[in-house]
Amino acid sequence: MNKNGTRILTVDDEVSILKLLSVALTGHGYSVDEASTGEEGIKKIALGKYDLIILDLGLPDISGLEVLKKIREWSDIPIIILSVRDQDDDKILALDSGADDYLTKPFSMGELLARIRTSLRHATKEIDEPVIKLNDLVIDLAHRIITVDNVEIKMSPIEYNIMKYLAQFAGRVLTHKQILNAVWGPYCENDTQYLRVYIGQIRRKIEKEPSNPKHIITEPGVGYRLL
Amino acid sequence: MVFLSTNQFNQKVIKSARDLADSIPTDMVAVYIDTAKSILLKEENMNQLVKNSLLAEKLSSETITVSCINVTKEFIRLSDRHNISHIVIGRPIRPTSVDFMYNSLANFVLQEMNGISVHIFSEEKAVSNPPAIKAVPNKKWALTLPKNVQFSSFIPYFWGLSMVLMMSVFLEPFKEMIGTLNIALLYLIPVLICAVSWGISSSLLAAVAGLILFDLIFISPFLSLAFPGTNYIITFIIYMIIGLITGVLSTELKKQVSESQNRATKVATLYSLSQDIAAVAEMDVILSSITQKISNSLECQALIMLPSINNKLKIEASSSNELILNKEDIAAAQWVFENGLEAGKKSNNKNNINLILLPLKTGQGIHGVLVIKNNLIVKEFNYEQLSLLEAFTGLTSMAINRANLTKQAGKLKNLAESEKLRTALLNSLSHDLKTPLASIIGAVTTLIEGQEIFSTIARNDLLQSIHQGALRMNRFIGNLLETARLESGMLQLKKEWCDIEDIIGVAVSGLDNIFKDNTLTINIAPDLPMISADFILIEQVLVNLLDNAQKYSEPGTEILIWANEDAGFLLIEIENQGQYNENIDLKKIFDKFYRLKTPLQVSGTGLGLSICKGLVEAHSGKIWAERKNRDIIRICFTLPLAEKNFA
Repeated sequence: MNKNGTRILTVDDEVSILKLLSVALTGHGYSVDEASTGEEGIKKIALGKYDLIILDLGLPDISGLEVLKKIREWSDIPIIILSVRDQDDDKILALDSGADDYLTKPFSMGELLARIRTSLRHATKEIDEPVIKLNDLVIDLAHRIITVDNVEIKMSPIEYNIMKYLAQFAGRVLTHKQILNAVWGPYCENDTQYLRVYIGQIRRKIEKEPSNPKHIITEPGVGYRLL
Repeated sequence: MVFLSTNQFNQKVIKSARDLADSIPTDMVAVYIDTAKSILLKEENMNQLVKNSLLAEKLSSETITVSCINVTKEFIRLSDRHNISHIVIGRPIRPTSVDFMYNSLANFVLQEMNGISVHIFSEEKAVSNPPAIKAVPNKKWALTLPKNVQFSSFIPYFWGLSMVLMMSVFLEPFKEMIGTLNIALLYLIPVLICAVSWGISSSLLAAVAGLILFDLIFISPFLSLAFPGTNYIITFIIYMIIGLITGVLSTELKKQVSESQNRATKVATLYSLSQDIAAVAEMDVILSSITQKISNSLECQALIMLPSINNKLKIEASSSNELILNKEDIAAAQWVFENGLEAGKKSNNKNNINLILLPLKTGQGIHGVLVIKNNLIVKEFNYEQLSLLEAFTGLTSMAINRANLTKQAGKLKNLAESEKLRTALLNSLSHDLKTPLASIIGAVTTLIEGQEIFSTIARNDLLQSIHQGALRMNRFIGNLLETARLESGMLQLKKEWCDIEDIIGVAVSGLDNIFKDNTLTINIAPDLPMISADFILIEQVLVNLLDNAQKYSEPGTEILIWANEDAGFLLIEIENQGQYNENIDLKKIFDKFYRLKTPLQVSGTGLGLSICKGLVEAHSGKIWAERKNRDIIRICFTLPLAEKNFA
């Protein structure tokens, strides 16, 4: 991936965080701009051209959620939100409102970089890849075959659909609501228990250690992520 | 040993006994032998007895009241028990006709008991007897009918006469067969029946009627009152004596029975009251129980006043809601409270005590006032009732004292607990925050100072230690916050359907890097139902338990997790092996800031398990620890399963 020239806008009221992000991301080849309030952030996005936004939920003037919704009115730019522990509900709302991924403070830089990469990858995709390879797990969307270590795994239609949806956004977090919507339709958005049962079943099929999954990762309280 | 009695001379006797005891020197014991005939005593004698008892109490080391029927047997028992070496008996001036009866005990002692000296103090004739006190026999036969014996008037006489008549009519045809002597004897039967059932007067009537009818019917000339002959006169005199003796005996017996019953009732009342008081700790329950009991047993109204603000008395309990006190009475009660003395108020007529105010005091001071209101119509309390009242007062005082002390102790305990917690918290904060911070600042400043000196590896090490330190602080602060949330009651569960395997997976992956020295084995039963729980909080429980298990594990040992269904609950168990002390209180480990002493270097706050307990119990589950053997400890917790499940 060509990192040169990838422009990231960081929006956070904490000076220390902005500095940290600036130093770290610049060090990894990104070019970084900063904004310390929501208004400033929105203005900068409107005027400038960015490839990714790192947005803090707890902004002083308008909430990060508001900023997100405003941006989403006219842009699909990937947005990663930063939140603290008690903002769980806001976090889910942000993801359901169009944020690509999230990180909870204090976060590790490694994770942030991984999520930046994933989000950028999904954003710049022109065509959907037909085959998604994740170590031992291979999902062939064209042929509707899922294999682990080259052994085909039989899946029920619903299980396959879940896998397909997760795979299309591989590496990115998907909320319960998003998955339920995609697989079962808009009227089942709140029936998380069904999702849990199916995820459990899928894990037993594809994970080496279903109790310690490496592919389908639970994001507590939020949703799932396929790695 | 000095014997108490009901006359005034007894006071001198007691004093003399004290002098004797001092001269020997030895202890003095005062005894009142209550032969259940005390009900025969007049009021003034009772009062004198009370006065004597009070004096005796002041002067002797022990005052005993024993109730019995056999005086001599009781005396033997007492003298053995208390190692009596001297007896003091008083001998007041009495009419000589009855004097002989009183020497019985002294004689008995002189004859039977060896090794005990008897001192008899006689009253000199020169000393004038206070006219109010009569020498009333308190041991043997009463020659006058007890005044408080009441019989319903005419029925016994009616029965007596009719029995005699019936007998006469019945026996008349058989007089030849049975013989006059036997008939005479048969007339004894109604006399005895009357004596036993109704007492002396009706038996006397039966005797006389029998005589007359016998004379009329069985002695010639028949149907005329002729002189029956001296032998029959003697017979009838004997009848009368027998009737008299039986009547007296039976009256006596009845009295004693009723007295015993009264005593038993008194004891039972006291016992039940003291049981009530002993069992209950709440003041208001105790007080209302007491006022009710007093009201019931003494047939009066009772209320208890305790001090409130400014030490002013306030009514705390009352046996009836209609009992009101006027200002005067309340002022009197206040006086009683402040001075610790009894007070009574007599009503306008007849010297009946209207209101009695008793201070409730123990060794710890005066706790309140007991107010007794007697009905005007009912007589003043008698001796039995007064002693019962005294017992009640004593019990009440003790109960109030105890309730007060219990409350105080509770407060002190709470204070001590919160002090302990605060100290532990401060100590913990200080140590557990400063330590990782120290390593962070140390490592960072090292790096800043020596940019060029350190190799990549060395720099990496320092950076790792900064990372670890920060993580530790993060965990610790998280624990503190969680504890604060639990304590404040602000914890809100976001319940949703969760798969326990999922939660375990998340917890384990979060702690991945710490299990490098141990093997983690996860056993989850298949097809476990979902639980309705807060995912993140249960994840926290597992994280804390796993972290704990790892901290206390011997390197190279196994850490095991089980998840099973058990009787409507989900049971999760985490087991680890480590070097544990002999005695660990498996309940205490869930206390805040509790840390085990083990040889392993364990860091942490001691809050982890207490948070687990708080979170599990917030889900209506239970958490406990089991010791499998010396080295293996298993911590288990349950979560309730919902009715629906979606397997």
